[in-house]
Amino acid sequence: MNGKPVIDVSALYGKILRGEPVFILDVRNEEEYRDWRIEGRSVRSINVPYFAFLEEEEVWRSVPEDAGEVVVVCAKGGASEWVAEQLRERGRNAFSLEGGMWAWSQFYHALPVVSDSRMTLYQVNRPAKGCLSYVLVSRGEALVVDPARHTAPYLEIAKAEGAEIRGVIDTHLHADHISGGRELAAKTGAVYYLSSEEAAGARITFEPLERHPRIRLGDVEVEVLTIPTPGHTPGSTSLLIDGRYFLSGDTVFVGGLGRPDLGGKAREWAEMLYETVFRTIAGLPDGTYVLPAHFSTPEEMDGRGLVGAELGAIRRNNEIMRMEDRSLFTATVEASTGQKKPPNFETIVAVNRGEETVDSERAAELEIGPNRCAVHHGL
Amino acid sequence: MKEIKVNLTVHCEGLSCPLPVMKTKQAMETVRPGDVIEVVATDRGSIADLKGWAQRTGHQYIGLREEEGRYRHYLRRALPEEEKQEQQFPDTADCEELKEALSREDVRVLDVREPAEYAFGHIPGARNIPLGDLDDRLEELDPSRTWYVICRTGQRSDLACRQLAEKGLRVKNVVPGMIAWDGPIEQDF
Repeated sequence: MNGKPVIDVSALYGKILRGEPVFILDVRNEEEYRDWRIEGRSVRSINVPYFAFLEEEEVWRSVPEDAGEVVVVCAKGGASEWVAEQLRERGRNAFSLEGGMWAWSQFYHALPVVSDSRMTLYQVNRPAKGCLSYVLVSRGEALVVDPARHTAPYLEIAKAEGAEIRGVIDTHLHADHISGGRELAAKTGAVYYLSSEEAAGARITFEPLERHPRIRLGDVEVEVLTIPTPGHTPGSTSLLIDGRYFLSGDTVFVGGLGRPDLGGKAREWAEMLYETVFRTIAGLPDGTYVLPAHFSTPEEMDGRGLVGAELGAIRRNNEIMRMEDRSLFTATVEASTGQKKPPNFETIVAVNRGEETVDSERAAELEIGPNRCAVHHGL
Repeated sequence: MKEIKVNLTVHCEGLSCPLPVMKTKQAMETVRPGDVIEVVATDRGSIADLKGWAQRTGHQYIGLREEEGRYRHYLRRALPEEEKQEQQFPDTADCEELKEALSREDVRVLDVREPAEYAFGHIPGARNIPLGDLDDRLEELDPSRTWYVICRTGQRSDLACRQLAEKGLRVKNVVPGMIAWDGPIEQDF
């Protein structure tokens, strides 16, 4: 700790998961804060840019007396360290978030969704981006679904499980974050699967996912069905694991549906989404457990921090899932797509298509900011 | 890259947040009101932070030049409130009048802002003599012409007009100044 009053992202996330009250003083610019910040059910946060503290003593009093322990957050951890030290000199209990939002954007947390004698399924959460990825392990073999840019979390899980990563799947071409799929496959010798439709014209090597309706892993008992679910993108594919766990990519979220407009063909893709919801997904029972590739608010997490819901509950809670009138459905979905698009999404898509190469610093910069892949909640 | 004349350069290469803003604040306290400092930084975050800091403190963020991973910021120290007096020089012209005059005759424009402000955008053909240098450079101004004197907000040009009128030059203060100018603009780099 070096005597410096700091807290790391993992400890902060632990507090948030346990529901402990967390008071965050975010000292970045107002615009950065408005765009993207640390959230959680037990999180209270205020924004005062660090340079305001340089000017007037008065500003120090903007941190409320009842705040308790204050976690100071900035972009990379430099300004927050200074503010935290100054707060301490004024008798406040303050810590600086080590590495700031930079570190937060690269933090991952894994939780087992299910673990029995045949298989373990992990959900790997990247809370800063609202990105969810999955690792399925069975009898010494692992399959990774929608891995994010940093491959370490997946390699660590495989190592801890004593498993070899045999396959890596991207359910679709991501627009909000850089996929770690190809890199992870290259590092482990695993097969990289992607739907041909998603890869059309892209400069990448992949195994066409549509040629594998069934992927068997480890034990023959664990079966992965690949189900085309176009809409968010034309080649979007969902996976049904062991007949119950539905890895839905960006097609169905706990709070709604994936947006169909990122390819610039909102109407056409909305029509596909209709078919997917009312023909393909309609055939799945209510008890199917949906595990999406994203969440947008901490409310979508359960008490453990897991994001997922039974299909029956999603149908009950989201009117759009019951909107069987085709024209009403497509009109509603289209109307909701006027929202802001994910930051830098065009460049991110180009990187994921192998058309552009970026170093890790640039990659981290591109990924900074919120995820915006869902049709906005309340639909 | 063409050099821009400044009163002080602050080197923040290799420094990350919060140091560029802190060093800028310290440097600003060492220069006179109205002086311009250049801050050279490599941290991209310095752009939003210095703009935000300037806005909060009332200093003028003049502009930014980027070259080879270096960000050169230009800031002008704010004048204390008491120096912001009412404009006194009676003969004024607004920007519309100046634009019109420029379109029909060979008009002389004197820009009395600091060189950095001038470099980031000025009326094409305007001569730049900062207010503080005016006394020493009077002979540069043709006394047979009428000079339209402009600054950012009309304050410095008001002082300049009074000074120049005393020396017998024909001058008009352009009000409010460059903040309202929507005609053609030229940059020096």
